[in-house]
Amino acid sequence: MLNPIRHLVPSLFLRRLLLLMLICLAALGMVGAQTYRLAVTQVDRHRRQAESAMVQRLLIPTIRGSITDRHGRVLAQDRPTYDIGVDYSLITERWAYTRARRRAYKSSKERWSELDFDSRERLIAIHQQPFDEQVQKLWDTLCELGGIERAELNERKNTITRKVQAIASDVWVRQLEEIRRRRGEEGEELELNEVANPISEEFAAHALLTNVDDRVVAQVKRLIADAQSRADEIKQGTAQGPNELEPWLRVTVMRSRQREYPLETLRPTVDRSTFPGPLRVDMTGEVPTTGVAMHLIGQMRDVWEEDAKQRPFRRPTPADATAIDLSGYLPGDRCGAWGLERAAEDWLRGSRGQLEEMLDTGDHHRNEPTPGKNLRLSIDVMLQARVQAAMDPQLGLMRVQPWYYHDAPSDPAVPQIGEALNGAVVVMDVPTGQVLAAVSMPSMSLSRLRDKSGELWNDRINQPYLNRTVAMPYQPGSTVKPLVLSAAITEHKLGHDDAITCNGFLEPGKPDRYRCWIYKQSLGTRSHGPLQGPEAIARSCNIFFFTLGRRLGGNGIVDWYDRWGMGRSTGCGLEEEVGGDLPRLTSFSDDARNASSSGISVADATQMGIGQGPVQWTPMQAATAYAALARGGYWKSPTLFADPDAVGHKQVERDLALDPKGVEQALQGLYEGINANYGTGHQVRVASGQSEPTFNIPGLKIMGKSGTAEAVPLRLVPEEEFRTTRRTRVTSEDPIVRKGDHAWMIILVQPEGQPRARYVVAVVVEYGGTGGAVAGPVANQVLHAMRAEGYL
Amino acid sequence: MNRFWARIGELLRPHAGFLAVIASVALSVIGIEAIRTASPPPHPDYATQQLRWLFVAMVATVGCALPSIRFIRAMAWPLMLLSIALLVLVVLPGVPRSIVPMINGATCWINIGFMHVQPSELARVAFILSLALFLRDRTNLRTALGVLLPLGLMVVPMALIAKEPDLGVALVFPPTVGAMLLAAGARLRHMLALAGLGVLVSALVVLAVYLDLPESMQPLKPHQRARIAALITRAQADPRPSLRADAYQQEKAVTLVGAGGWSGNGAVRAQQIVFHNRLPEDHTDMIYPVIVNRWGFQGAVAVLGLYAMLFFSMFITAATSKDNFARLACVGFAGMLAFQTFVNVGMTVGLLPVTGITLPFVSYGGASLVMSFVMVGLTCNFASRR
Repeated sequence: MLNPIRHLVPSLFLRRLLLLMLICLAALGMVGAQTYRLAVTQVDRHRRQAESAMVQRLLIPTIRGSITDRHGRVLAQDRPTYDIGVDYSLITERWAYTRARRRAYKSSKERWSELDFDSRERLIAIHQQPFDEQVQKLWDTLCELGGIERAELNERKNTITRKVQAIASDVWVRQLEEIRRRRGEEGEELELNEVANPISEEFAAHALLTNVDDRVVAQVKRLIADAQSRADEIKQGTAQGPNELEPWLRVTVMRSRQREYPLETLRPTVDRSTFPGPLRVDMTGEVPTTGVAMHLIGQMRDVWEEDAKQRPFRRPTPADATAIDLSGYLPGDRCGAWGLERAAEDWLRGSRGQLEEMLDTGDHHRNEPTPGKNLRLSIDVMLQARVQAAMDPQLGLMRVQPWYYHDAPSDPAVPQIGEALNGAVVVMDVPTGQVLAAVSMPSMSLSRLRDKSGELWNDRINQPYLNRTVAMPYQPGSTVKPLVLSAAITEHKLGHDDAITCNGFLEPGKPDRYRCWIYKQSLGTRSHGPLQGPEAIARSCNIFFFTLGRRLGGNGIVDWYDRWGMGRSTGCGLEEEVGGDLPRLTSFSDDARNASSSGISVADATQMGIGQGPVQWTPMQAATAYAALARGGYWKSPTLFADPDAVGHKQVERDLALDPKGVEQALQGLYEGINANYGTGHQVRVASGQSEPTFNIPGLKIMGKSGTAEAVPLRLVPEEEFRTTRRTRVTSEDPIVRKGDHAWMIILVQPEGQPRARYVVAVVVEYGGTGGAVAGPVANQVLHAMRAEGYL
Repeated sequence: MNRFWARIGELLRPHAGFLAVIASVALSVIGIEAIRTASPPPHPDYATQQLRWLFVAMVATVGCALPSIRFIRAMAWPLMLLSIALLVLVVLPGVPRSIVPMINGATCWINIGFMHVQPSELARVAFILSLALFLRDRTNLRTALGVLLPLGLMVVPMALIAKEPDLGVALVFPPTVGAMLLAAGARLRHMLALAGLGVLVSALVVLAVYLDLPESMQPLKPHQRARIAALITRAQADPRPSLRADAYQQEKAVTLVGAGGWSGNGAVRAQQIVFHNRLPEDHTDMIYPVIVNRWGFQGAVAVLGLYAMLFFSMFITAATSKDNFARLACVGFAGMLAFQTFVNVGMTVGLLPVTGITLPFVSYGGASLVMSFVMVGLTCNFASRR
């Protein structure tokens, strides 16, 4: 191919020139073609992007939705407030120096350049005095307006200075590293002060008085206006300086927004004449109650990186690298930390607005913010407060009393007499599944939460931050017995009129295994004899339910517990809810259910018949299961919301297809359990030979079941080891800090004139002791609270 | 005196050098306009300063067009030695910062009281002249050794400039040498081998960046790697451009080129767009996006066409000149300017990584403008010889 060219252009030099020229043209053609591609074929995309840089966007804050209780009482709301901000230069007192320096320079302009450093500083110091006085006056006025001491103001100023300096040093170090990186290892060594340019925070105003009232705002505004008009007059020459109010020109009224919880502290009254035995006092008094419903409502916190990652504010797309999501998170935003503030975050949050200013034309385009949606809860905050007040350890019910344990505990890990107890109460409306109150003890409070020592979070034994109604599973103990009975009857494992004989122990000749509680308590002298279902429930006979557990078999009983909602969260809407404990069957198909070879041993099945062994549920699950029983076997997931569609939350419903006879017998058993004199929930024996009825509220049909559940002891990693290793997973080596029985009482309440039970009350007292004696009086107080609030 | 006027007469007769003058002046005027667009107040008035430099450059052009080729030949080596001496001065440790200031972390300038001079700009022209002189009478260029020797000549100034560090200017040398060797008659396969070697080295460097090898195995400095990484990111059409400065700069440049459209946004609008997009170095290295933004693809075609005209003029001068030194020098000028143009425009349209190479005649910068016009003046000088 070269030959014809050689022939045509004989000179090697010219041929080479031609080649070089071609290379040049090719190179120019290449960049030209790329320019064409960018500027002609992709022009729209690039223009859009270039023009988006010409738009200045100001974000308009939104309002977070409020949370109200079922009657519309505001539990959490965003309140617009005002802060009084002061320029950073004033806070650091740099302002007076700068002003004095200017004044000094003006006064001796001619010889300024000849002055040395010291004489300049002397001159400045002379001029600085009046400015210093003005600033001092400003501080005095602010202290007066804010109702704070001077020391407090100084502390706030120091905090701001420290914060700004911390940010600045952070920025500078980053910049230094960036410059070093760009220069590579070589190049001049840089000092920090070469990059120490002021950061924007050093020019901004910082809030010194927060959350001030309108009166203060008006006064500050007037002072600023006075300072301004005085400055104008001096400027126009109609007045003579100096302007005494000059520092006020650097004060601003800043709008801010605060999440407040108006009903966090309440003072409900408690009638202590209805308390049992020695706790009874013939008086009704107010009980200051803090942190009402705080576990449920939750709190706010600053967003974390993970939140921002999940829902970022900036969402670049291939088409638009500057795309934003106005409801996304920006650093410094607040979001729900736990509870409903967290669970309903998207519902409550709302979306920012945006003010777009076209920098080239000056046009404005305003995109209004979308306020967050309000949330109405099914909770009745007054009922919640009353229940919490009744459970105040000061009043005694949630404190170990001599009658709480059948035998006086000798083990120090068992709560000793006088020690405060933890627990939870759930009150649920049966027809709707709405939760009216969900109290977890110990309670929290805003002041404890804001306590910097972190005492709340470091209490590993009591874990006051834990919402025990949904986040803590407990062994159910005897409370499952009505559920097991109705299941066994439905599965034809027990005929409608069948009886099972209690001999004190289950297996002949083995009195040490599977004993009835009555046999244990009477040291082997007593048993229940032949029992039918209802009476077995009322007497809480273990042998009866061991037998039913065996008859249902491992798969059968697990399957039924699963249907009752154990082992999975109820879906009440809280993120911290746990599912409790239940062995998983590989398959719930009929084949698996009928197969004799199951993963669950006969021993487990036997234990599960009385709510021991590998089963645990939360008070919420317990209340939900009992509500299902009260509906005749219709399971409905609980809800914390008054509006059925709030937060996209849907209640799940399913028919358990129980034999009506089974339901009837279970309810009958529950009725006898409270009302028959052999019922375990009938009486509380407050002292030897001194008993009184568990429930002392007239005109109600109460059905219920107590439970004294042998609990897994609470073990904790020893404090010193925890501090060094942060190990949380406990082993059997770790010491036991709590042991004993969980006390349960779950009741169905049927007000007069109603065809069936209307409310469920589930009470658990952690390591509290005997169910009926400990949880029963609490349940009784819940009923009194409900009556006081007009439910009964 | 007569000889002087005769020389003027010679210069005024039509010759290929006119094309070079027309093209370069047109490019400079476009450049000044673009600089005006890129630096509205409160920026310093770069455009007027550049206009002043243009006058200085025109004087330099005439000054270079006049002397005899023999004189220029005689000056080649002394100029080269002078520029090397100055380059040594700027990289020498211990030279007071009052003489060799550090600007943007590099020591490229010498402060001579009323202005800063850039030895590397002088070195570019001096190097082409001395290499042309060196290659003029070589007969062994068709051997491998004959090719390697001129390459060795390149190493000294290139290494010194790279040390400043001004990698962009240093990079200009190898292609220039290549073009001159090619024109001087080196074997194609030797040249191809050298080009192949160059491609291989670049490929390895890019691969090292792409594979994100550990620091000890990276031949480039972090900021240089970042620029290559930015290019790779672009090529992969990642919707999230890294916010690092290098990627940002190229991203902005590409956006502004793309926003130009067919016929541009006009002076006022382009000024607003460029201003609010905050393109770094918009009046120097990144002037091409400003041009395309203001005059659109049409403007780009005009600019690239003017460059083609300039290089054509230089090649024609090389082709018609009888003097071997002049021929090779013209090839060197064309090669160097063409490479600079290609790399500069290539980086602004997102084809090449960002390097600190200016767009000849167009970018703001006195020394660069004057030295580019010196090349045009010399081309005129050579073209006007009969």
